[in-house]
Amino acid sequence: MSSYLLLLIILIPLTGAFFTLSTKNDKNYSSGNIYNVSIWTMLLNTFLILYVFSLIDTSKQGIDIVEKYSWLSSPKIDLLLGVDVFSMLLLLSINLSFFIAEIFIYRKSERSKTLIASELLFVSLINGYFIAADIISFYIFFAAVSIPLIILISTYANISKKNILVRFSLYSIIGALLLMVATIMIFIHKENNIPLNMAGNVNMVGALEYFVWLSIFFAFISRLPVWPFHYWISAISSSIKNPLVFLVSNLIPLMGLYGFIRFWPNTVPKTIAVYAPVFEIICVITMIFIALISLSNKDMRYKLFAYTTVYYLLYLIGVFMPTNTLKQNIGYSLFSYIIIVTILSFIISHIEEQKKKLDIYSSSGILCYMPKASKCISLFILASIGLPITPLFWNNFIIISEIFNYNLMLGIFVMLSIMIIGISFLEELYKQKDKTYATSSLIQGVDMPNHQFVICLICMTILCLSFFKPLWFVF
Amino acid sequence: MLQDMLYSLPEISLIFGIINLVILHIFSNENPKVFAKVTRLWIIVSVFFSIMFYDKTFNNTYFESSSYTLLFKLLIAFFSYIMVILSPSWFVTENKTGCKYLILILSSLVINNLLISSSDIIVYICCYAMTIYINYRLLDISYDKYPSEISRKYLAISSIILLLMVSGFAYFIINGGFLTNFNQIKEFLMSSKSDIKYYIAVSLIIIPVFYTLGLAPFHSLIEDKIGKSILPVSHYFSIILPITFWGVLLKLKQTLLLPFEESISSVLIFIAVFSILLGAIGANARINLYRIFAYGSMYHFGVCVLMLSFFTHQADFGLIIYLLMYLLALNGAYTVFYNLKSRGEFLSAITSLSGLAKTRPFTTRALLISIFSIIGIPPFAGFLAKFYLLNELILHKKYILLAITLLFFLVLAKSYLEIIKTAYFEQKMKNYDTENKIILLTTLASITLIAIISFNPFGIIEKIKDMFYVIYS
Amino acid sequence: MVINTVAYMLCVSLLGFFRTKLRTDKIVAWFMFIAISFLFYNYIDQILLGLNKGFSFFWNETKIGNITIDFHPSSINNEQIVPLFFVTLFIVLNNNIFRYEERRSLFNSLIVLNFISLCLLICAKNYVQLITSVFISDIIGYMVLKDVDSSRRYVIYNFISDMCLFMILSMVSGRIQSLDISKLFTFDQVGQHKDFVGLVTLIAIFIKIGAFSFHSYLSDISKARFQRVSTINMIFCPIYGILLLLKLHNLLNVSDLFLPIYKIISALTFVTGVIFFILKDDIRKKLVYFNMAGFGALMIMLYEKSFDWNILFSYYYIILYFYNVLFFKLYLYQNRIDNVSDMINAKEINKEIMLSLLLIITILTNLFITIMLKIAYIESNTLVLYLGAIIFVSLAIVLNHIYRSPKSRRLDYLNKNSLRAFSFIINSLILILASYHFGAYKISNLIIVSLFIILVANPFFIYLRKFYNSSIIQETELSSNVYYYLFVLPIKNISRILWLMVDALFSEKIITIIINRINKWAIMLFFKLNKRSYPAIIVFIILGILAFVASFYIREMP
Repeated sequence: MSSYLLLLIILIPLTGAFFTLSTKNDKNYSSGNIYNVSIWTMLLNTFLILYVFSLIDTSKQGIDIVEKYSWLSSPKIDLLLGVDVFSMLLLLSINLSFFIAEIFIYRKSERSKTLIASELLFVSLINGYFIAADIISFYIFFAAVSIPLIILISTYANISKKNILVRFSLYSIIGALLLMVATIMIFIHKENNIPLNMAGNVNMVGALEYFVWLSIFFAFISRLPVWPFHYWISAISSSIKNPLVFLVSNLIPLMGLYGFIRFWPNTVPKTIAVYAPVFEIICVITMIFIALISLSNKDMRYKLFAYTTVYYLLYLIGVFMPTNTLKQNIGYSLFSYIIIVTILSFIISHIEEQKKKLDIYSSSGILCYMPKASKCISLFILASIGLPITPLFWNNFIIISEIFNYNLMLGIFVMLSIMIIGISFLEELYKQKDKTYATSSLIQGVDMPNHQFVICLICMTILCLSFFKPLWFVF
Repeated sequence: MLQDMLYSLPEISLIFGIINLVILHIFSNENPKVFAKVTRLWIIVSVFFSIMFYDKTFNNTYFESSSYTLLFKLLIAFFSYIMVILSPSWFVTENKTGCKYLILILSSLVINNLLISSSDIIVYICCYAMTIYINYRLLDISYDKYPSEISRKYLAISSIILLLMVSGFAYFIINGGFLTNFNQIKEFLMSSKSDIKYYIAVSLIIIPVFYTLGLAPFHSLIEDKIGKSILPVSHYFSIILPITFWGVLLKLKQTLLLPFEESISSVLIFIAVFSILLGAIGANARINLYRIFAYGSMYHFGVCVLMLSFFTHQADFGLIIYLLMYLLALNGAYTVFYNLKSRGEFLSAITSLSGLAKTRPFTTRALLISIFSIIGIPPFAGFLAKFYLLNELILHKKYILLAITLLFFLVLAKSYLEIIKTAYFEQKMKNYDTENKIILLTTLASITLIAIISFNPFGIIEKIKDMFYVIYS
Repeated sequence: MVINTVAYMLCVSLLGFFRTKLRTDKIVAWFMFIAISFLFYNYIDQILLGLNKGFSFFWNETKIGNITIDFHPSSINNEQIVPLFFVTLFIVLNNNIFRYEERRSLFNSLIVLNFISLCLLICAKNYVQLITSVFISDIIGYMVLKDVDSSRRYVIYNFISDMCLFMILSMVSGRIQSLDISKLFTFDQVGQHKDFVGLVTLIAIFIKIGAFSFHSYLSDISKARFQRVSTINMIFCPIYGILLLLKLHNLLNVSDLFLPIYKIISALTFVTGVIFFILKDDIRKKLVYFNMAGFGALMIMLYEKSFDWNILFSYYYIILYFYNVLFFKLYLYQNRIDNVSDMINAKEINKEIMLSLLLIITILTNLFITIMLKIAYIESNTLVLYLGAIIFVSLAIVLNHIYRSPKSRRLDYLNKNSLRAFSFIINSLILILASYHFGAYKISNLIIVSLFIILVANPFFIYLRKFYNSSIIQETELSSNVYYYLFVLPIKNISRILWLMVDALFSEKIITIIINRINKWAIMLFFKLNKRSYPAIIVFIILGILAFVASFYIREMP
């Protein structure tokens, strides 16, 4: 019986956040306690997710495990929580990523209470977002995720970017409002709270249909860095130095993407379908645009952000393909993609930290001092650009294949942007490995600690095993 | 007689509370905390009796009690109780007893109870006059620090408003027979729907309510009432008074306004839209925190009036939920204001929040939660409010109004986000005084309530609905 | 069983990844060589006995076909696998003898892993296996190179090539709804944008081979150590390019543009290779261009044979490899002098060794010409003879420059180089036996040998040495300059402009600025309207009352 298991997946990180907030402000012990709480919380949650995964019938399409909770009686609203393989993959990768993240930042950050509590709250809410199986609970979690995001970005973003915070918050609110209006319209139209998988089959007519689907569209777009609404997220990403917050900010578009995957109908109403090519062109323009900027931008974090943008938009284009066979591929690809982005965020952050410590302006040759970090970053950059040792390679192959099937020019531009971003990464990697800029000797204490190196290797093993057998961890 | 006295115990206990305070003030030199304790005790006693005799009244001619009136009495008592917990800190800082304030609060509670329960127009007018007087005295609590010009202005304008009310009533008396009971007036008006004079008379009776709530175009003094008065008084004007008068307005709607539903509906929409507009823009125009929230209240009350204009039971219930959730969130914000002190001075400018996040993270988080709730982000209370609002607007197919509401909501949200921005991003300008533990505990309780109420714990929403729907029977 | 061979090879390759001391490393390296030799022998034995059954390992099921890891060495596959196996073995042997690397066992491991990857490519029946093996070889190649400077363009060019392959194969598999390489020909019937497919695939292959205008990354590699240059040139990207050509020529044939472009590029590759083999001063660069010419000739020969592999091409490839080995020895026994112009006359440095080398080179050249004659015979094409002749002459010119160098040096400045007789013996034995096997001991061969020696010894080629002083020929890389000015610089400038203009381009910032302006205007209006004087308050109240009145009449209106 799966009663309350899904609810537990949401509540465990929330409880962890509560315990974190209630720790005393004792400088000697509190920091360690906070991180210990968070690590154990994430570990427990990860195991729970694996257990739930084992209960799912992986061959079955659609939502498998469902839990129902009554909320209001007037109007009558019951909330549904449910999962399928796709959402479980995302859950597992997110929770695993944050577990890894906490090991990497153990005792390193300032204001750890705020950071860890907000992060656990974020994990709890995004778990809820992936678990939500009806339109109202979906909306609730979609909107609620703004809270930890605003707290984290307010606390850790660069002080010169304060106006960006206001814009980011407004976009979140606009997106949430649009989705709320659309959700309530569907709710009223159907006179009931409907499961998420039926949202695409709602038959409305006329202006109502037009408005509802456009609202949903713009609600999810508000989380994605699509031109011309790309600037705020790039500004936020570039202003955040804390790697955990950087990771969180780079997961914002995942919400928009997931929303499209769940909410967007397979057969889009003709009124909206007319604009699909326009949207695809805009996505591709954004991809090329961001990829080209990343070539000039010397900041590795920006390059990582550009990489995440390009790939999110690739998956988004995949979602808009007139086929419903890509969902599983996107899920498997996202699984490895999130882990890769997590590891890269932290290694890059480590490099930036050491740059500061060594008082170096440029990162040229810095990897010469840190062989372990050098190996890890090389491996993960190669994995990120499509090395066939991770599920990213194969599943992207399928997605791009469908895109080419649909339209040649679209496919060419998508591949072009992927290639440019790959070159951008490789160039930076080379610059950092270039011995001509490094002093001769290895500097002690600069390389990543052994336990982080082991974590990187374990992650790479997980990815390799997933390449050979996608659901190898399901027993 | 004894029975009538028994049924009037809720009010009597409050009067005893006043007497107790007077005696304490005259015969001892107690500190504000003691006065507050006494006040709270009598409030609890009053609540106890209200619950016990919720459907009984000491005079059936002029008053009526039901679960509807109990609902509002409980809400008034609840928020008053919180206010009385918080206010001593202000008076301690200012080195005052606060006795006058507490006496006035208890008096206002008595009047509010009577106002809510009134079923007679004379009682209504008398209670309203008393309310004006109490408000005037509250505004006058300036201790020479704040100018009392506002209290004089308030008295002047309120007198005009009262005059309008009385003239409206006078027209009924002269032309409609000596009908003073609301239900009787309602039956009479049902047959006189097309008579503009009665319509204007009713309007004149209703206008004072809009004036007290600060709805445009009767909003002129609301900003100064809340912005220029001392913090405890501002708290009272922001929360206690609106609850009372919304309870009254809903009652009046069912009696006086219902016969003129079609006409009143359009004017209510006009008032709503005007309030929404003015509230949103006004909040952006101000830099004083109390004024920002005052204009915010104008916006939210405008939204409530919008729901009122639909004249359906469901919309009214949505209004109540919206109001309740908004006031909970506003109350949360006010608990934060009591901790915003620097060198013994209570801070009210938005710039005084600079660097708050770094030095007072808990207080900032509480403010953040309150603001998030007001904005309507789930899972806080405001989300439920937004849900009901949008549900009603869409159900009634008021898409243009929906667009206006949401558009100006974004304008209003910008002002709230400026507060967050200042708290997190600006450099610290002041050193804040040590936080008061009781206020911190109250803040914690407030934000916990804000956080959990939208989950409908113990079916509280259904219980409120059951209590509210009595008004339609 | 073949699976055993592959498994053992994998185990052998893993040995090199353990960190060991120098002495242990030497033992491990030799052990690896012995193991590989045994496995080579065993493999040949299995072929001869017909016991080399392949294997398939099921990996994943997809809607467009199952993905398997196949290793079915048919006779045609073995014609490719065996020479590669042989060359791999030889590289390992030379690494052990000549101490190429500080960690010999690690280098050996990488070579063995690359061989496994090559086998996977040769036996690939589906695209996934094909692309995977190509990607893996790029990584191993990068690890072999180690040197950042020389590997930079190597990685980027190969990345572009791999992405082009990825793109085309994903496009094709989506179209024909199959992952099977044998079904590529069906793209001709159902496929669209055939020219695009053909061109992009061709670009990918040309990059891999290092064909004309795509060879600058191979030229960069020449900055690395000699043996690494040679290894990369022989068993990494160029041979992968050739194998991809064989695998994908069905796909290339769908485009009408394929053959004309292929012919032109292969001819230019050969010609460029030969010219710069003669004119470049750095011996490593000479080697790179020599290999380029060799692969260019192979491309032409493959075209003449309709892209069917023949055993003779295997021998041709092995001969190319041997030239690499012998060039390394020339470099070694010239005291590792990089520039041919600085090399000392053979009479004055390691004279006996140099003469022995010349003898071995002569035998090799004889064998080379024999093989070319055989190829010309089976292709019935004299073009092959011309190719062979040109290579023959260019070799003679370069050897002339080395052996008849005008530079001399006093003997006492020279360090004695150890003989490494084992290597000489092995090389000589193999070449003599091979010559015997191919019947290279005829009278005609004697003429060839004599001609070769005459050419090496002649005094006229010395005039070509003046090109060694030309900085334009020595420094400039024409193709890389073209790419730089045609692609790299414009892209970099565009990206810089975009980076600077991102704020100014139409973005939400402009929208928010407009909204802010509207907001400010609204606030100004608010201040004007919202006076708190008595008259203003009265006016508002009257306005309210009027609103009530108006609403009554609005209701009355029809």
